Amino acid sequence: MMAERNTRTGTGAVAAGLTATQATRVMGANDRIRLGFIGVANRGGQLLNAFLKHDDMEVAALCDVQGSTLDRANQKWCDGKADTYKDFRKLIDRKDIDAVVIATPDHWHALQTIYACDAGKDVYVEKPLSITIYEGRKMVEAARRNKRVVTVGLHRRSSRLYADAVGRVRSGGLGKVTVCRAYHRSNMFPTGIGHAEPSQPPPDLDWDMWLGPRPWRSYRATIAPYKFRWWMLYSSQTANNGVHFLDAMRWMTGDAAPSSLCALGGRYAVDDDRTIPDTLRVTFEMPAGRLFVFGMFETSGNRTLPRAGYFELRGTRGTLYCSDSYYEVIPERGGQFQDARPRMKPVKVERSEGNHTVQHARNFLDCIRSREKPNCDVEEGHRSTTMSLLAKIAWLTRARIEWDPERERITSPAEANSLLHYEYRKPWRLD
Amino acid sequence: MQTRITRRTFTKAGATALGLAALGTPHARAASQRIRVGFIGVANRGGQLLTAFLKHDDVEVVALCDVQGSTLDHANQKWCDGKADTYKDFRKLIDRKDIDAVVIATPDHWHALQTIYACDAGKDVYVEKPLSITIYEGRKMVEAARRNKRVVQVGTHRRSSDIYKRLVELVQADTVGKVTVSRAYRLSNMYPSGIGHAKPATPPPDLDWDLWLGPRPERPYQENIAPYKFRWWMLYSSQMANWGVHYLDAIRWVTGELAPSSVCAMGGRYAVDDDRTIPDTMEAVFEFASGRLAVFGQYEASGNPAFPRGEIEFRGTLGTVYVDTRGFEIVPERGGQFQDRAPRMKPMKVEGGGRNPDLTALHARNFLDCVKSREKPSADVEIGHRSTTFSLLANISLVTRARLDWDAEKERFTNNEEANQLLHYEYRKPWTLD
Repeated sequence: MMAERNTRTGTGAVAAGLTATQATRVMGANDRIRLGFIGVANRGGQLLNAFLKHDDMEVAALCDVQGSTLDRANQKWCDGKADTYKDFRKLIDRKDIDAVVIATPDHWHALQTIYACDAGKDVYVEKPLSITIYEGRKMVEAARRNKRVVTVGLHRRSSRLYADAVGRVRSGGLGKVTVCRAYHRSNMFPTGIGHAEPSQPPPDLDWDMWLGPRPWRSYRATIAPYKFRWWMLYSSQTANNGVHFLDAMRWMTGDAAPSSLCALGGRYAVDDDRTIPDTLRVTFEMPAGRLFVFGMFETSGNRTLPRAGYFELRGTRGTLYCSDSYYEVIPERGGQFQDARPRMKPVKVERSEGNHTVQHARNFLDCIRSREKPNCDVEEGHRSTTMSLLAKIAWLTRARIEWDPERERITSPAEANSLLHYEYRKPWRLD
Repeated sequence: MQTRITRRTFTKAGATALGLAALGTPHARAASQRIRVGFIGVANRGGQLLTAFLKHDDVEVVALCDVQGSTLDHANQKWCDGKADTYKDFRKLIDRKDIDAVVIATPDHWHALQTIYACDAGKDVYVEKPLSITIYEGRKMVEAARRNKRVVQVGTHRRSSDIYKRLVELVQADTVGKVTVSRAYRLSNMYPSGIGHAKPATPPPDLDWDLWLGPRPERPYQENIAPYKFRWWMLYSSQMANWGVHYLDAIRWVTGELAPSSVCAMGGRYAVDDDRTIPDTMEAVFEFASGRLAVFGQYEASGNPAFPRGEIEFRGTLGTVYVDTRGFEIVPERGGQFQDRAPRMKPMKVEGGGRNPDLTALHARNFLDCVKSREKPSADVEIGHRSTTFSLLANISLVTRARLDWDAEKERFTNNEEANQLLHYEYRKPWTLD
């Protein structure tokens, strides 16, 4: 099977005129899968932890643009025995690595995933999949062109509890779902991520490499390593947190994509360096006839839903609240002019499933062997990430956006299409 | 009271100066005399208002008006022992010189004409919310009140609630920090059949259907339009306006806002199969220049609660308020990411408010007091106009499928000319709004 994969990859890549094709090793059924990790700070560390729960893999190499992060991860998870790189291309060039796990800032996901696919490697890439919608599509194409297994780190896709809820919703258990709501909330008033002056980057950080395709700018302590999530150029909280919920709701309802959306918000209360809103409310309309509502509240943290749970699905028969250890369905009663009796019996399903990331890693490893599509295939991750990225565009353009999901173009306002991608800083390019 | 009569004389002079024709001469009455009130529209809400006004001794119901004879007779028997004078045409009631004030509870598309006629005839007005069906009408109503120096109270009765007054003071004193998000919902699961389907039919013989339609285009009668269900027809009302105005008015009051700078509303008919022309599911988000959002959701295909408790939620940086007419509760905020996690205030709970009928009676009381004192009532017409504007903006945003930027001073949209066309409509003759 490995041999067949190599042949296909090589042929396809040559036909597409690509240069950096690697021959990957032949792996036997009992061989352990050899992984390389790109980005090993906060989330990368959690992923190392999750993957190392499984016996059939080994960590061959680690990569990070900051030397101290790299050394610490190597000591903590690999007894200092992994090969380490500051340049991800060197890790991807290794022919003895089967798959890479990417947990870098969002603006790096596309290039690293596409390079890895073109080098014949399978990829586990963190969410959000990309920083532009165009990148996401190119990543799907790279996966398909090279017949790679690419899974996106929306780990709830590997939850049996969630899968059970999906079955219930899709078989009409809630009636017609007309509103889905989710909120990210954390009260970051008053100082948020704080202020930092532009400064020299730490000596062990390759800052130019951290920026990659994004414009050159001075280092600040409020950007890297962790706080890039509050900078529109490198991520956003709607993408970082929102995509988890938008993906889960999309999975449950079976909606492919919104037809329209608007997003209102701003920097209302938190005084810090962020370039994203501290308060944002996004409304999506789905062609099937329902709304998705996402609120990103970083100026208030109290509960937004009437019951515990990450998100809510409001059906004509019942309302579902879902968290990671249980879900429940509260019966609806008829309102004005309708029969006021409860329309169903209450439901509560509990399942302590442990760590979903561990299960998501397991699914990825299984798919590397079986060549099946993983639980969160790159196309699904792309479609969910697209919702977050559209929200960003709607906020920036101050317009209601009409979206054509087939052509992946904004039909109104046309000028918003300029935000579907951006020009990379040289030498980086996305062909 | 002498002052009042003097002012009315002045009003008459003012009206004449403006070249107005239909000026009534209100009768002079002593301070001990009761305020003589005429009611226009006496079905569902009009009946509730009769109940509320009749709780006060200084009121006398002189006349009732309704376009449907049976409604009129029923109300006269129930509230007036059959002794009130009754009219099907509101103009005849307004023409009466011995009536001090009118109470209007007709469908929304009638509020402007009736209020303006009444003001021009020198009468004070209690008019139900939403104030108007277009933003232009609302402004004309304010002008009519000011021109004639009339007391015009809008039926957003929370404005007469001590609970809400207390909350306004607390929030404006920064007790909960900066409120960045306010939310409210109208929740009623009208799936599957909503207001039903009905065929065009001959109107009931006692209903003056042409007068019911008034300035709106001619169309056949349907039983799921009048008397009650016009609320689900965009031409005559909307649930965004009917319910939204209550909550958006309270949000505006508590947060001290005049108007949104931007609005986007989305929704549709997703689940309910009926004759409605408004959405069964809709969310409107308003942004304010001061840096906050207000959200109103109209969920008529799902009725479970939308937040932990209360009818309105105010999310402040120090605490979250949940309020309804009976009381409010403040839940302290704790610092989130990178912030001190200690609670930022002490919890607070205030009870002892009333239910809607109690508040309506208080609101009527405030109106009657202002009829005597000539002070501005607690929900003065400008207040009601500014609050009604929110709902009408949301409806325009929905129809134009656009996020709209609003200039509250000029009362015009700044980014969408099509939307400006919806600030008013051409009345059906002979009705005109000058």
